[in-house]
Amino acid sequence: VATAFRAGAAAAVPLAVGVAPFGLVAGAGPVAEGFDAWSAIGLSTIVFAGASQLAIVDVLAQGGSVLVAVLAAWTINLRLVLYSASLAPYLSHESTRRRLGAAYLLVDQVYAICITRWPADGGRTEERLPFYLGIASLLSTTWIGSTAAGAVAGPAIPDSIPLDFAIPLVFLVLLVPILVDRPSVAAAVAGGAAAVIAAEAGAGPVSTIIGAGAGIVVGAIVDARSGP
Amino acid sequence: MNRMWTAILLIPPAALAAIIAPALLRPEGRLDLLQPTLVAGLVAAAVAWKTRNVGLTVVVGIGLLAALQRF
Repeated sequence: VATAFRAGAAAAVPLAVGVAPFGLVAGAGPVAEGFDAWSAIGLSTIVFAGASQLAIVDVLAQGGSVLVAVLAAWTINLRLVLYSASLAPYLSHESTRRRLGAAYLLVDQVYAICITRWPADGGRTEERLPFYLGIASLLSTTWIGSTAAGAVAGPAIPDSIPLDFAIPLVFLVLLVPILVDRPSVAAAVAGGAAAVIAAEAGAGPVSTIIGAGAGIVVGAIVDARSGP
Repeated sequence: MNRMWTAILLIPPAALAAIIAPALLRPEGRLDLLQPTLVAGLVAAAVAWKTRNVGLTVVVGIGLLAALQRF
């Protein structure tokens, strides 16, 4: 069991290297928008989902309500529902309580490792949860630690450096690799255009939700037309 | 059920673009296509596409915007 835990942590090392810069932004971003360092660290601990955290900060900084911020966060990380459903069969031998605990730690990188390892693990089911926790503990400490570093170091950066621009840039890095087919490109183009139009019309922070909704509808139409 | 999966898979591109587009096209709160934020954003998008690297994209984007704002 301890071996499986260490194997998980070892498998997560390359991905943790990629997580750290994102964590710095997740720490510095909220502070640049006027939140205190503990809010940034709290978001990284409780929400534990980078894109959703930045979306929450983005909405609140524009004066949006908590409800809109929560909706934006849910919208962006709804893909975790898919990850969770896809991993659940591999952990069906564990108790519900343990699976719920594991679900809290689920992020893109954990999913990416487990979904490639578990189908080929020869049915050694008792090693799966420790392996998962090994990955998650390395990633979560990296994530929370780099958030704290970003939140503390962020204010030392002079105003002439537009730190708040990091938020759309991080989303850009997340967006580019998922533009894989016509429906996803259509969803992004329509989502972006609708959000800009809604914002121009005075929708404020709600324009993100309006844009996302419009993008999903247009993407689904393109998907239905491009065949089975 | 398949339809629902399709819709869920379309959420990330739609939602991410809905956050990015206003940030790049109306940085001062109104539509403006001739400003440094859009230029820096497009260059950063090219870097993101080529490298998929969060750190590099953020550094290039912020560095370019800071440089352009100085002129």
